[in-house]
Amino acid sequence: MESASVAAGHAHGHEHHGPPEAHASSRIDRQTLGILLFIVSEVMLFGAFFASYFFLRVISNDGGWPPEGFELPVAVAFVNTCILVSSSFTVHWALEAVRKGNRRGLQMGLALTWLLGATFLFIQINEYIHIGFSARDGSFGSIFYGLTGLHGAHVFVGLLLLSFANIRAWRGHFGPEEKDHLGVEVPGIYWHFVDVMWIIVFVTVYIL
Amino acid sequence: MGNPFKSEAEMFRVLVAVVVAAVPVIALALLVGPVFGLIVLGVELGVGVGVLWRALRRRRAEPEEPEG
Repeated sequence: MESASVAAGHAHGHEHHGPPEAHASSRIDRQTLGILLFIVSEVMLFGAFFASYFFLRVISNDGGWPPEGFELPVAVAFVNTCILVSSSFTVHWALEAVRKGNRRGLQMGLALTWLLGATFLFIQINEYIHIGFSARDGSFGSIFYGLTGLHGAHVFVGLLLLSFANIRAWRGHFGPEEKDHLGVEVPGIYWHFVDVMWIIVFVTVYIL
Repeated sequence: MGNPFKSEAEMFRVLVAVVVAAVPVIALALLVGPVFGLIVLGVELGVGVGVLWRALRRRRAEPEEPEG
């Protein structure tokens, strides 16, 4: 019986260790499906925070917005927005480079993306230190720190993912084939999502 | 445009579209007033929903490709 199954295994021409392969959709690979579902849940999380923001701003607010005594550093936030948006261009450049087999471009693109993301986070922390109000200062303070802090936490997670991608890129991992650079593709999708969310946060909280 | 989360390139396109849409909103809100930015945002959202609706209808009308 055993010899028959071994013979069958040889007949198929490959050896498989561990549990059998799970059924996979032919349209989307598992890693991308995972990040898709994760991002959908993130959209709902941000949606809850935006719902709170608009409730506080439109329904339960009598005076102006931001309330008197609160001033937001729009210029600093604008520069920070430009930094974060440019980091999306560098991660895209890194992926274009790896698709063309350009390892140096991949390494440079990922390193630049990490540095720009870290700069964004550093400026945001600096903004918190000098802004002059805290999360305890009324509903405006709470929702301001809630929304921007939620986004900052996402940038931090993105930086962790990019750290792993950076280390792997410098150790010679990843290749031009699509399946060989999923470790950059998935953090790239997440990073663009974080950037899109920041643009929405910036326009809603600082501009309008 | 397909599923924006299917690949980095698709998501990058979404980001560029969001940036392009945000630039006039930010510029008008800062230079003229937040109300004008809000109006432009409303118009852009309306146009965006319309374009998406038309793209979805066109996609539904096309015959499905057999999976290989």
